[in-house]
Amino acid sequence: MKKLLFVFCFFVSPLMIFSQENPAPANETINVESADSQVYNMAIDLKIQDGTTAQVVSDHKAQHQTVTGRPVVLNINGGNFKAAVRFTLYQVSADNLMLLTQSTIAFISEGHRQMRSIAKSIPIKAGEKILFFPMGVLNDGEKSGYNCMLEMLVSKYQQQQPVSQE
Amino acid sequence: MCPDVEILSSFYDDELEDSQKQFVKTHVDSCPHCQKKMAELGLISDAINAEEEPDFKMAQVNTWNKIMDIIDREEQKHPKVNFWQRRFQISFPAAAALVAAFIVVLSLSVVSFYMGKHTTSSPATPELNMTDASDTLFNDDNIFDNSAIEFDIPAINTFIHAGEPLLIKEVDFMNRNGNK
Repeated sequence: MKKLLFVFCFFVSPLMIFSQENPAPANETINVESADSQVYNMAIDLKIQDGTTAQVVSDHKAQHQTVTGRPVVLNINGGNFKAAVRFTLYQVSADNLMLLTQSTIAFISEGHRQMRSIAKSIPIKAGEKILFFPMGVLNDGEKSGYNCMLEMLVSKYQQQQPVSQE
Repeated sequence: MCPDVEILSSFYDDELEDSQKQFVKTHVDSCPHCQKKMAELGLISDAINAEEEPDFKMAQVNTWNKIMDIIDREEQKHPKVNFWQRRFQISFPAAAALVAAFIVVLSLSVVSFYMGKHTTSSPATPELNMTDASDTLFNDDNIFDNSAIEFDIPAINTFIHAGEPLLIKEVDFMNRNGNK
């Protein structure tokens, strides 16, 4: 009886040990056609605005292609201001999208370093222009200083046809 | 009055103090009874000194031999059994409980083995030290990933933190400003 128990334990113990391991999930196949329709082009325009004169003193443009669920990441490096912003698009229905903005801002104000993180979302449609003010909006005449504004235009990605050489 | 035997014995062994020794000697010289006792003590002493000392080493060897004999006899009564040939007696309830516990552990391990095939483990979330987060943001160029879009704006030190970040459609923003 004891010999039998020993032999049984000998063969079962590896099963007990390896059962604790978590095997990697099997690779899932991706439907390329459906994924193609979820590719978007994000045109981003960063404007630095003088709060008192409302004049744009600096303008930077960038374009990025992304798919829903994959964030577009911006790093903004200023003097007393740095920001890391993630824009993520989510498909709600065929025409409707949800734009999620996660931003972490660090700035030095009156000698003190401050850091704020916030997440905001807005329902959008392709072709609509969206504005994001990571430092908030300056009220007219209240403060003198510079403000930062991001303009975004999300559109469906259209693959460019190769130019025929004739 | 004669001294008792203990005192006479001490006198014989020369263990008395000088004053007592003198007193006892004077008495013994004049007392035939005590002289007889002293003679007896002398005989006893001679007899003791004449005897040979017992052989302790031999006695020790004999004792060990006896002990070893006892051990041999016990071993012959209960011979050593190999571990694999030894028999255990276990009560039926204890055996049933043991088997039940084993089956439970085995079934749990099998279940967890098959569950593990269909679940994915989430990677450990890295801890963010909040005191260093601000430093990280100021010193690290890419906080999120390496494919981040970099905007190096002019080093203006008069950026104003006007309030909570605002995410708004351009149309709504224009309407809001138009209403003001």
